[in-house]
Amino acid sequence: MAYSNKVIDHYNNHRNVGSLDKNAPEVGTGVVGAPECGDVMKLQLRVNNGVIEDAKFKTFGCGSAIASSSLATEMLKGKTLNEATEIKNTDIVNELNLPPVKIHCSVLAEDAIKAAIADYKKKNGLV
Amino acid sequence: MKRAGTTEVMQQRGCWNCGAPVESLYLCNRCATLQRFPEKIDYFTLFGIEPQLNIDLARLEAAFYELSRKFHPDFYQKKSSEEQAISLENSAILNKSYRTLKDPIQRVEYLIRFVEGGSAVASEAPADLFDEIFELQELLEGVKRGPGDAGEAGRLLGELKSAEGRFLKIQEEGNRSLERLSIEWDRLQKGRTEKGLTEEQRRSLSEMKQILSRRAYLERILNDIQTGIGKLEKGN
Amino acid sequence: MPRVVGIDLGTTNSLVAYMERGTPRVIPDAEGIAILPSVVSFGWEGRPEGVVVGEEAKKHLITYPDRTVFSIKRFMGKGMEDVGDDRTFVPYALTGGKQEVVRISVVGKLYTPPEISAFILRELKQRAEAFFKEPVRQAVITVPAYFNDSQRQATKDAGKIAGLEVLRIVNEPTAASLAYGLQKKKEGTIVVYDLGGGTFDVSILKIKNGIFEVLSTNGDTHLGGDDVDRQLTLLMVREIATQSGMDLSSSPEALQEIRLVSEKVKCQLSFEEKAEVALSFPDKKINYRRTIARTEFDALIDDFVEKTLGPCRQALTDAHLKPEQVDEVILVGGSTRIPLVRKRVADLFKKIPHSELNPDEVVALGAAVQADILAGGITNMLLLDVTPLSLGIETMGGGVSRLIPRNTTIPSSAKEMFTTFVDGQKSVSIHVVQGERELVKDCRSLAKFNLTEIDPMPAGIPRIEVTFMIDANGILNVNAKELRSGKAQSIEVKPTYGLTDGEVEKMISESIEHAREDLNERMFIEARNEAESVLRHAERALSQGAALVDGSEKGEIEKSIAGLKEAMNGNDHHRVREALDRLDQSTKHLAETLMNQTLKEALQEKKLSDL
Repeated sequence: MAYSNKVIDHYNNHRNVGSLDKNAPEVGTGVVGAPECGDVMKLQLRVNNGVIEDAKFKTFGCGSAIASSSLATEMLKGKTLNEATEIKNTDIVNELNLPPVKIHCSVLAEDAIKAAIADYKKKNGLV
Repeated sequence: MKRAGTTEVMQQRGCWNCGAPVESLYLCNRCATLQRFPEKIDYFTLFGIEPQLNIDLARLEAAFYELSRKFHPDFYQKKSSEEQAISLENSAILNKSYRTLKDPIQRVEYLIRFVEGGSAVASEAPADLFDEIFELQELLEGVKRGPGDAGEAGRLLGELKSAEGRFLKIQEEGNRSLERLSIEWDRLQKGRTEKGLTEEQRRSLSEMKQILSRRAYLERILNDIQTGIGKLEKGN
Repeated sequence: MPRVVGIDLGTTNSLVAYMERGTPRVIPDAEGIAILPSVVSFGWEGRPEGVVVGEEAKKHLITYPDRTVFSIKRFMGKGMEDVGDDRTFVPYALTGGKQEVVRISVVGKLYTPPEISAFILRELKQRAEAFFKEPVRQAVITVPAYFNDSQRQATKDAGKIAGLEVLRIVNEPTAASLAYGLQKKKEGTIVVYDLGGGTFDVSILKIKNGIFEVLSTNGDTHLGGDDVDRQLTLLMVREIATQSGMDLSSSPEALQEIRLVSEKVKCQLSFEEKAEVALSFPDKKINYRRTIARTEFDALIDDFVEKTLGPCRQALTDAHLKPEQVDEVILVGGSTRIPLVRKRVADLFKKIPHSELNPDEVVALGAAVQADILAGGITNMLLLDVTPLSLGIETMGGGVSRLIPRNTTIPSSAKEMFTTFVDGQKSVSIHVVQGERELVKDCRSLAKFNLTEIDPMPAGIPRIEVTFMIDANGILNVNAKELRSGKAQSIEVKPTYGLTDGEVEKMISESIEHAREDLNERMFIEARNEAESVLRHAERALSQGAALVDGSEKGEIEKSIAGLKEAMNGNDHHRVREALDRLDQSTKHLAETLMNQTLKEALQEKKLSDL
């Protein structure tokens, strides 16, 4: 599927909504908030041998945050922890008429990934 | 502190119409045409009041009315389109300033931005609130799907009502603290002319920011809870 | 100072007013009547686009329901999707595709609601011109406070099509407050409860030192006296069906007749305890008689009245006021004559509402006051109005990011920074919506535009600044630019349910052509009427004074008469005027001679009687 179609698909059908066991040692949890609009987002990763096996998120309210999280969690799967901290996609997307994103929502997912990885590392004595 | 005196707000500017140097906030002394507000205008200077948190609302209103008579597009119907555009822009700025300073919470947010130049909310998240917010949001998901039976609906309603009470109490405490801090801030600021903040002022600001950063989350969840309660009560 | 008139373009009736030495007055027609029914009937004067407006058109409601348009205001600025129930309630045909402005199909032609409203506005414009004996080109037009951006824009378009420069769109309840404030010279907090034919508004204002500051406004653009008529109509249709087994709901003529009877019953029950209904349709063998008591009527409209109270409560909350803090309540709009309405309003605000101002005229009078302010007449009064609905744009995920909340004083501007969702995204679609809900699908779509040619950057890096500006008319302008590249972005605006500038221009030029045709027609008719009376006099004079003129003079007069008769059979008013002049010249001597003779006789008679 073309990248742009994938994006639109995430926009319409959110994936990876849910929770993982917060207390399991292989799960890292990040909870962050956007004080501008009062949104709170939780993002969880399950790590196996340094590779992210599964990712789930939960956020209420802001649609931008939901769409961003859906896309972010999908891209996280199969990546190593190091790769995950620098998720970037350089494909150029032409004529994709997407609505804009509030700036504080665009950073929410990124912050949540960082917080979840930090939590995992802390739990497993990697820092 | 960054109390912008009129001199600091008024950067050098020339009249758009005749080129003469403009010395007032919005009027050319030579050709009497309306000027755009200086770019760095702050709301306190605009209304000619001291930058404090407890302000005389009657005086603010009187100043607002007086300035409205100066800028409102009604009075520029026959002027040049440039002056009409300025009247529209200045009116919009005036209306926004009035709305901001009239509201005690927005006034605190504005003062923090004015003094510090940054965001009015603390950057660290109030993590203690998040777990409770998540639990409640999950409960509300249940309300949205529709409770299975009357018993479940009753249980949900009970939980939501007790949560509402709890959050309202936190909100109320926050408001009282803001009031106390506002008085404290004005006392600390009184008579100060030098730039830079004292240690006490910094602490006062940081406390205000902490309260403000919780406000958005509290408002959001309270709003959601009240919608949920409304829905359950209607369903009965 | 050019004339600026104030116009109340109502659902049921419209009026035009002006300011005369500090006092607003309505402008009557030639018969002295100020109220113009907002009804337009098509297909007259032997051509499909031949139009009659007002009382004359109202007569055709029953006889020609499919080509007589009423309550057009309900469709202003709307798409087929928003029309809903109204479609079945009006006998004229509505068409229009998805995401398109509604069109009314009459006598084989399609008209948009602004074009139909323009016929009403043009009639008022002509009335004012006849009154002042000079052209009128500028106007202030009122709209319900709760009208959204599309509806306001549509009203402005209607003005343009009618050849008027609309200096300001003013909210009806605030206009009423201006008229009230000017007359009563009172200060304090007032509530204007405005229940018209098709719309309901409530506004709360603070009046102080000549400043009229609106604190909050609320309403329902789809609630009014029409709904009361509809309740009564439905009741009668139902009862007739039970009694006779005949369903009249599929007969436009019958429905229209019942609707008009309903309107009468409603008015009667505002002053009397009961009303008699007698409807007969001999061709259907229906003879329906019935007495409706006030109590029964009150029960029937209870829900309707209740529906107006929710917005009142919300307006109080938004203004941070309790009912006790309101000094006065003013009633505006014909539907406030209903006793149950008055009672409920009094109960809610805990005070007897004021109704001494003529509820039909007060809005037009207020529009005239605002017109005078804009013309530079009154300088000590200033109206600070608010935007009734929150404005926002759609953000990723179908949510709404609110930029200007409702009840913000206008003019108002807001800026917010946005960014892209995916890496390399080159365009962003800005969808402007109006409404109080969190999701785009629950709000009203106003316009869409695309911000294109953004330099490809990773997601979250572009800084797109969106600026809203709501002007003093409550009409929105949107700008967007990407700040990092600094270059101006090409923006293409597509109003969701409005007319594009091009469409409006086309309608204006068409209407000017029509107006020229209409004008010629009117001038010809006037000249012909005058010619008829002159002819009658000339022919009588010639027979009376045959002995007083010589043969050549008589021949000249006869030739002039024949020439005039011929000109009257044509369609050129210039030729009629020329022939009239010629007849006037040729009968001059005869007229003088006759006059002298009559005078002489009269004097002689007098002398005789004196003796």
